[in-house]
Amino acid sequence: MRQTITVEISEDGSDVRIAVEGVKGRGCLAATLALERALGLSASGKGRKLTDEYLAVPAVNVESVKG
Amino acid sequence: MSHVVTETVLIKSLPDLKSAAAALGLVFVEGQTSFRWYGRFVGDTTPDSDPATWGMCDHAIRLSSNRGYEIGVVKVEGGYRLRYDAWCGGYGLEDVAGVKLSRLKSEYSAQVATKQLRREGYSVARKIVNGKLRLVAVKG
Repeated sequence: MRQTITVEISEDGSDVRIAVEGVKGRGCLAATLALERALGLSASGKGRKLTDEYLAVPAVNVESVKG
Repeated sequence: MSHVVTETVLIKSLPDLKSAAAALGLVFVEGQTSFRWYGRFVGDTTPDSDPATWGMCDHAIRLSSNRGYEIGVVKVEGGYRLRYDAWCGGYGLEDVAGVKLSRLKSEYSAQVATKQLRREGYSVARKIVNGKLRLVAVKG
């Protein structure tokens, strides 16, 4: 199955959004987490749901889109 | 004047920071322990860090012309932060690295994400959409 990950970085570099398509369930989460780790992001403690947008720290937003 | 600011993005990969600097035509100077700025705090701003430490760094980034102010790459817990004197745009620095180092930070994120995605077997294309840098990674 074709898998697509789109990473959009704002002009000022402070906002990163990650969209995952064609990667199901845990694979979707794993792909997102790997990018988060690489980018030095961490979840805000609000919990992580595949379809939820959540705030990451420091100063970066991450949006995980359903697989 | 002195307007040293510390950027909030945590730099975790020096190789990717070097790649980002090179992509913008900036020069990364490994092991340079001071960076060029006004040189003394004149009390005209509210400092975001101890002015006594301004100008100190572990590495530095400068313009290829070696003019203007420089960016200090300062080691902190878990990585590095970028610090520079923003007065008058750092005398040419912001023209290349962006206001508040936006272009450098954006390029750094792109370098990190591209490397990670390629490591996972994706082919990565990049384009600019509405001023935002977009990476599209595909496999399968």
